[in-house]
Amino acid sequence: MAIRPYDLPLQADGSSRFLPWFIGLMVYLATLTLALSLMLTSAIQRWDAGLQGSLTVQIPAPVDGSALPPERLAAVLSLLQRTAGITSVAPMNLAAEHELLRPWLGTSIDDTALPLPTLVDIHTALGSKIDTGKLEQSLAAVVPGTSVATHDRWLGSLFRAARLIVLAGEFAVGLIGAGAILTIIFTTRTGLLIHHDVIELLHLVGAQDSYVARQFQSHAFRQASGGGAFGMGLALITIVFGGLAAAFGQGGDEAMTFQGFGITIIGWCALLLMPVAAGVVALVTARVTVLSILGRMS
Amino acid sequence: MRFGTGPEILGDIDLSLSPGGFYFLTGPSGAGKSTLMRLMYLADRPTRGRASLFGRDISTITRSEKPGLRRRIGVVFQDFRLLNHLSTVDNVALPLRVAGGDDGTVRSYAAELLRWVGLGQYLDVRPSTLSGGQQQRVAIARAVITRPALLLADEPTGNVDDAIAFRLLHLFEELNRLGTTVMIATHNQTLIDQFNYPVLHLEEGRLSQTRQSVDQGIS
Ligand SMILES: Nc1ncnc2c1ncn2[C@@H]1O[C@H](COP(=O)(O)OP(=O)(O)O)[C@@H](O)[C@H]1O
Ligand SMILES: [Mg+2]
Repeated sequence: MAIRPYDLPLQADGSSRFLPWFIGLMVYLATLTLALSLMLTSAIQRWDAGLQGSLTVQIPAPVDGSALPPERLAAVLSLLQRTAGITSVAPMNLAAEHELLRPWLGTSIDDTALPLPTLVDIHTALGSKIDTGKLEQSLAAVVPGTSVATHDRWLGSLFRAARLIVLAGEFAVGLIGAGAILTIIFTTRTGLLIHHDVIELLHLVGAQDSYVARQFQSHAFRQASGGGAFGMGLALITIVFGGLAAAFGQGGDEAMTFQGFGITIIGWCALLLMPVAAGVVALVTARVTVLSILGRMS
Repeated sequence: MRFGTGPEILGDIDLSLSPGGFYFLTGPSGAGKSTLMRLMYLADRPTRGRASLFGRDISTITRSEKPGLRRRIGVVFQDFRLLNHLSTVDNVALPLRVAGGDDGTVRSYAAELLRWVGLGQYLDVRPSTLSGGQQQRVAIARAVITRPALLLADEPTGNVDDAIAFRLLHLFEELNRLGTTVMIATHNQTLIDQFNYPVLHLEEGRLSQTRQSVDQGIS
């Protein structure tokens, strides 16, 4: 079976020779950006899952510097245990607390000199939403000044920053896509000019605009998907080597490396489909460009 | 008909071809023979006056209707307009291919036609490697492959010797017998004398008929 010839010599003219390289570069950048976004998204989800359902209750030490009376602590603990949704209540002991503070205060802590608040670690049942405001109010009635710290409160800004980075990445991919579309429009217009005579002949022998468009769109698809495959290959090599280097450089998180850098199966599929996506975008762009330009002719 | 602000190339022409007719179109070089044909194959619109094709007013034909009408018209261009990136057989097959014909069938039919015009050994060469006369025969094969309702041939025998010219004229007659209306622009007086068909003479923007046939008249 002979390969059907192009009726337009699009592959022979120089106008689109750079297109595969250009699309390749764009797919390379888009794939890297997308991969980084996916990794960051999965990292955010892992932090989120690790921290969800854990709260810290902080009971202030009496202002006179004395230790917290045990019956006050017991009252707080029993109130927490009676609260629906809380699965475990664990007061942090002094040693553990000192351990936490060692980097700041050094090894010789005189616990009578420094009034430390008593911390209670609590875990909540999965999915249960504890009203921390209400909990804080009823705890403060037992020991004034008691507060409930959700990790969201101090990790929230970190999450927001990470999400912003992901959003910026997606925006960058969008810009790259827009750049690719403009390039294909430009190349297609140039092709229409270069091959004006052949296109006129095709029309004179009875070709519809869609026949001419098919010539351009299949050419654009091949160029973009070919260039895109090259760009994606390079991007995957970059991700694997970059990821391995980072993992070994830190001396940790090999688990993440072996779990596909935290990118899900769907994420990997999205990355692998980038060349096809580039091809389809090129195809549709070329078709719409040709049909709209030819349609404006008489 | 005029181009831009130039002189009127075709003035008050009143021409009607009867379906199934066979016509010669003569006139000095630059008289507007090619221009008249361009109007007829819908490459140009008349700047004034009215023209109709297959019963349709040309000025009302929309872009989407043109392919359908053009598939009923075969054109032999004065400058051949063959595609040099395609083989001769793919050139000849082009009108059937753009109409959605099956590749294999279309190619074998095109090859058959090329053999008929004496180019059987040149199926897979590029037209640019052929002589002018051979290219002209490729162009003719492409024009007739769809068995068009109207065949417009612009000096189709200008580059071939008389023997081949007669053979090609017989091909056109054969098509005409099958119902195709034929109009041939030519300078070849020998050919015109040999075939007894009405002759339309174009000069200074005016059309006259120098050889009236009984059943085909120009009003
Ligand atoms: N696209 C065009 N623009 C301007 N003038 C043209 C164009 N095509 C043809 N002409 C002019 O129209 C006249 C008729 O040309 P043409 O139809 O080719 O004559 P013929 O085929 O009888 O030799 C010539 O004077 C030619 O210069
Ligand atoms: Mg001419």
